[in-house]
Amino acid sequence: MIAEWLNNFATNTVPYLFSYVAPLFTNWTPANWIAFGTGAASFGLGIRNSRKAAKGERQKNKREEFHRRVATPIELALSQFGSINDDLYDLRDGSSLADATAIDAIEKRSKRAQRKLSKELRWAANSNLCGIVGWDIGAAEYDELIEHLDGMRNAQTFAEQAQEIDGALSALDRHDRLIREKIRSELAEYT
Amino acid sequence: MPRINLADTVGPDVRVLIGQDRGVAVRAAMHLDELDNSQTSVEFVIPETLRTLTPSFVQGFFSNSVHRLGESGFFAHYKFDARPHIVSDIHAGIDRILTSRHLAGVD
Repeated sequence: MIAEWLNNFATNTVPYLFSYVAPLFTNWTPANWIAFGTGAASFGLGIRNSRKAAKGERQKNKREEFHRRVATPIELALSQFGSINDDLYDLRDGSSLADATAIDAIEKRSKRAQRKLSKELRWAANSNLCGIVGWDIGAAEYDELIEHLDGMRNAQTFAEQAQEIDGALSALDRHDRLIREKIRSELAEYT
Repeated sequence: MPRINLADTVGPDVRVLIGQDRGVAVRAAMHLDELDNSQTSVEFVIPETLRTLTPSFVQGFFSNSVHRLGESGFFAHYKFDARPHIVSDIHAGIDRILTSRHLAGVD
């Protein structure tokens, strides 16, 4: 039954439909064909441009989302470390040994900043906005910072303490650069 | 609930605990692999003198436990008699351990 229907379709229906469509083209002048070609080309270009624009929009949205949900929270945590940096410079520019209270205050702030940073790095690694590896960064530099803060407490002279402060500043600087570099590389690779 | 005093292993005057290797060594000395499998919860007593546990130490110390028990299982199994800022340090370290989709249970 299906074979019969197909045979009927091929021998009767197709020629019947073609008899209506063919004259539309056989009577076309070159001007008609040029107009048709121009229209078809514009249509194709329109589709291509709209696809390109949609891709650009998607990429822009992805970048914005990465900035808002990954980069900005991490940078906020880093800015907390930035204020510790300022305090360390103030201590180094002083003229006497810093007391334990001042060092304790710096250590407490660094711990709060570390807590926030660790949370944000974990969030980034487990989000689908970027890659999954290499987010456990800066731990060694943070260790160094804590060691130098401890060294500052034990320093007997201003010179010794200044040396520890320089070590702490260097650790903070490397810590900051490593994490910002990670953000830049993720941004370039995944958005 | 068994209470384990960290000071018994690291000394009573310890101020900072730093470094993954040290965390691994303290873990081995305190037989944490056995404690992970204990049927009852375990309480850690953290000495008052301790000012800071860095995330790297916590990673060495607790990574296997978190891997074995999961985050919620870990905090159900282990309790901490410690000052709030030390508990916060422990959380920072756990976040570092879970900075991996596999361990976080995402993948």
